[in-house]
Amino acid sequence: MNAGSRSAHSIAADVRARRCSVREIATQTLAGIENLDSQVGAFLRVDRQAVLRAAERLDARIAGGDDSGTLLGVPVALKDNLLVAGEPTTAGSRILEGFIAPYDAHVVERLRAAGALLIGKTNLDEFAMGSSTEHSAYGVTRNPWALDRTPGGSSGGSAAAVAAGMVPLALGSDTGGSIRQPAAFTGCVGFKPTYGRVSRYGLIAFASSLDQIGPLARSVADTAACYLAIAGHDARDATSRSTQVDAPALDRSVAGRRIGVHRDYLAALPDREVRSAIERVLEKLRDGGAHIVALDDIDLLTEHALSIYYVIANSEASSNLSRFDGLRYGPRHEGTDLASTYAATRGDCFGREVRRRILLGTFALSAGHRDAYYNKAQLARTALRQAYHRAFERVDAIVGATAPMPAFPLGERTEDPLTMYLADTLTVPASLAGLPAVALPAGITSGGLPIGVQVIGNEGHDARVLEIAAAIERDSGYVDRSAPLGSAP
Amino acid sequence: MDEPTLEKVARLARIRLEQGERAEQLTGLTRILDHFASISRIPLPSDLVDRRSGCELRSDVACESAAHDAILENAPNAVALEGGRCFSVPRVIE
Repeated sequence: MNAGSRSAHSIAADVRARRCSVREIATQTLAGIENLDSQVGAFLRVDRQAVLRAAERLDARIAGGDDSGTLLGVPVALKDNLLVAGEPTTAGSRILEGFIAPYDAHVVERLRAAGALLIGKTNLDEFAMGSSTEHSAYGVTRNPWALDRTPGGSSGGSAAAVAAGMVPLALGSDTGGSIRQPAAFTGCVGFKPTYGRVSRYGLIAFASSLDQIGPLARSVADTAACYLAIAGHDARDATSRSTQVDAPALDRSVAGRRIGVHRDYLAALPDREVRSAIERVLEKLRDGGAHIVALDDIDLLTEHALSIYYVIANSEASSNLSRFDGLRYGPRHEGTDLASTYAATRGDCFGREVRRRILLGTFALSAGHRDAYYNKAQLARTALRQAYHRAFERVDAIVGATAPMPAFPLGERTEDPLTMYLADTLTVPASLAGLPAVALPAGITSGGLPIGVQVIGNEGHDARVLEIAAAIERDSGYVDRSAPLGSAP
Repeated sequence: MDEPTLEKVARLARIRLEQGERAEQLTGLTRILDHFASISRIPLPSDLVDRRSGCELRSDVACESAAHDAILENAPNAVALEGGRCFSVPRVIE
């Protein structure tokens, strides 16, 4: 059996009970990736020998009596913007060609401590800037549900690896929806925790006031297990929260929960099948005893959220990516002086979309335009955050769609960046407000494509969001499903 | 956005744009900025107060950082000088 298509819980239980070795898990997982990934292109790098050596170290640790890790022997894939000491990390960019990470990311340290088996690095839009995993310098990743469609992005490699049954767990990063939107497009569960809940130490920064690391899995239970392994305070990330990490009670009923519904996440959706799937989820929640509360009287500023997000995210990116200058990392393209060396390296080695976003951010921060764009966007972000605070005075969670549409065909939006950005319409608000949000399967379209529902919670209420997601999952029956590889009917 | 503005922004961003790319970037950036301009129409209360919370700044205390040698391993053209290896940069002083 392919270990990659099993649940993390069952693998850890078998390894702990000595019913199988981590080396057996590793061998099966590597065979599964070899068999499937030529069609999908989820992985940028899998070092077979390193994985087998790590598996043997874990087996030795277990033989020595230490079988305490919550993810014991569980294969986990990592988005290639997370550092693993001694291994290449590209962020999907040519500008980091040849870069070897000098230290482990905090989440990597935590996964190792939990006994996880790190299996390889997954593809992403360059520097996590994209919604389709087509903006990688190292090729396109395909959706395992329909190989002619995008898996979403920017964590499309991680989502596709999980959806295809190559690994039970993967980590992604979510700046404006980069975990949740690919989860929705590939029929996975993807969780963006509260801002600051998971340390970004060792994550290559895109937009620091928004970036958050989180898990992708095929069930809420596995998602929660991975979240609990990586969450917690870390002094090396100045935004890391020191409050206690609560474990969710996943078997808890939704009876008495107040579930908010807003037209922006439902009635205003252009896709009838997406709308119907979300309505069915809400009916089941009502049947389970939840109170459905209309929030249409609150202006959540959804119409403006994309603009607010892209002004702030690109402004921060233009600053964060200034470190890639041809002097400290990767290739250097010589100019005639220092400034032309910077410009040649960055012009040649950043991809087109990254160049576009740095230009946008630089413009929004430049003298004469800063007030109209960046400062205005920051004020609007505060107003948006306050609107969500008002909503959460009345409800425990907001339930709606994750993306306005199912996965779109590869190549359909790459020439029109604005159309591409629209795929993030429903995920950027939770990012701007720093709220926990999880995407999980809600149905399948008549064309055979997954539809994702999103549960957004109040700041710090990560456990509650996962509990409601688990209840939705129980009622939907969409749990632990791997995608059929091939074109949708 | 017009061509002189694009040129200025590219210079500020330290990004060389090939001649063939300029027209395409100009079209894309103009269209996106037109869309972003909608934020000027957002009705914002005059007494807007930021309610961000939950994150703490660490103490302003020096602490150990990553190993210099490992970091310099990634530098193109790092040079060995008395006292250790260094980043190398094009000459900035005549």
